[in-house]
Amino acid sequence: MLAALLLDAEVDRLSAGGDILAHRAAISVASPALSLILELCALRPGGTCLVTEAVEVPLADYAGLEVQDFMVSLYNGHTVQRVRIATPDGGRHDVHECLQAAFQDLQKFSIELPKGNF
Amino acid sequence: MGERIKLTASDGFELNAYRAAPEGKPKAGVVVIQEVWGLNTFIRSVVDRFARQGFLAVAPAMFDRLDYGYESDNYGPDQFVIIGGMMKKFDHATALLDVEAAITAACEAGKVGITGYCFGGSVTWRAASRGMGLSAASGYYGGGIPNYLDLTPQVPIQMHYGDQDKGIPLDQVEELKARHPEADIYTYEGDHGFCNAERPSNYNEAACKQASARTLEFFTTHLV
Repeated sequence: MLAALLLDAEVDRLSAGGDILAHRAAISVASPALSLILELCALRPGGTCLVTEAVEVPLADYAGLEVQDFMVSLYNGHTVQRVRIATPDGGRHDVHECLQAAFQDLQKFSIELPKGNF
Repeated sequence: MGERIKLTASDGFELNAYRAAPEGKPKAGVVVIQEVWGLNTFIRSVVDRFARQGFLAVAPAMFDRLDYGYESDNYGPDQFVIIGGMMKKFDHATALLDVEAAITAACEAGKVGITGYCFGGSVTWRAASRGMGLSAASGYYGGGIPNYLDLTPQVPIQMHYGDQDKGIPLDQVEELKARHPEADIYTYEGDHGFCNAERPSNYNEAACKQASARTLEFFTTHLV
């Protein structure tokens, strides 16, 4: 959550005093990952939030598991616990993949665009 | 020191096992339940150790119904797919028939205790909850505590866990302690597998020696 909040704050910093709502809306359109992060950080009741859930691991992916996940999966119906971003429509997104994509997009926006001109 | 043997479970299934007997009359019997790597070097060494300590020890090949003859000294992730595949087919009910066959083989020495590591630690608790003619149980880092938390041991039992075991959170160990005050539950400085000398990355000699000494004392008290 802390990482998400830091990304959210950086998005706002890029607005450089401009119309922050329009800026955030434009960022959301340009980056699905950042859109999720901004929704998460809005902390709306019943809105996008973090959940910890059991996620089934396909056998083919077993070789990539950390030892502790391998162990946990053996005793829990081949599932491991994962933190995911849950959206109100029932969607699920791996939080680490989302954070990574959001960070990469934010880096791109920071470099390519003059501040306040997104 | 020991020998490879065959056991026959009550449903007719023939499985591999490893047996070691002491010189002279055994004090009692011990059934050793494997980790998920079969009757490998580590498990055979445990059987041999109990024999040196005066027990008739038998380790059944718990995965023979899933992949006959499977055993591995390879603790790397390339085994995870194989083991994961086997565990998809694993059935506790038939597994306990194999444990029962090993208990039958060990009881020629008198009272029988059961011990096991990781997967074997969980089976140890399950077997203890069934009684199965056992007189004591001592399990090591049995994974999936929530799956056996509600099972009540019918024999004296002790369990040993590492306090840095990322697969078995300490709050689950604490819950097991609270739910089963009749069990002696110990934690040690160590990771999962702290008593497997074949896994140097996880082995903690001091913790293993202390836990193994407790198991020996426990079995001596309840079996001899």
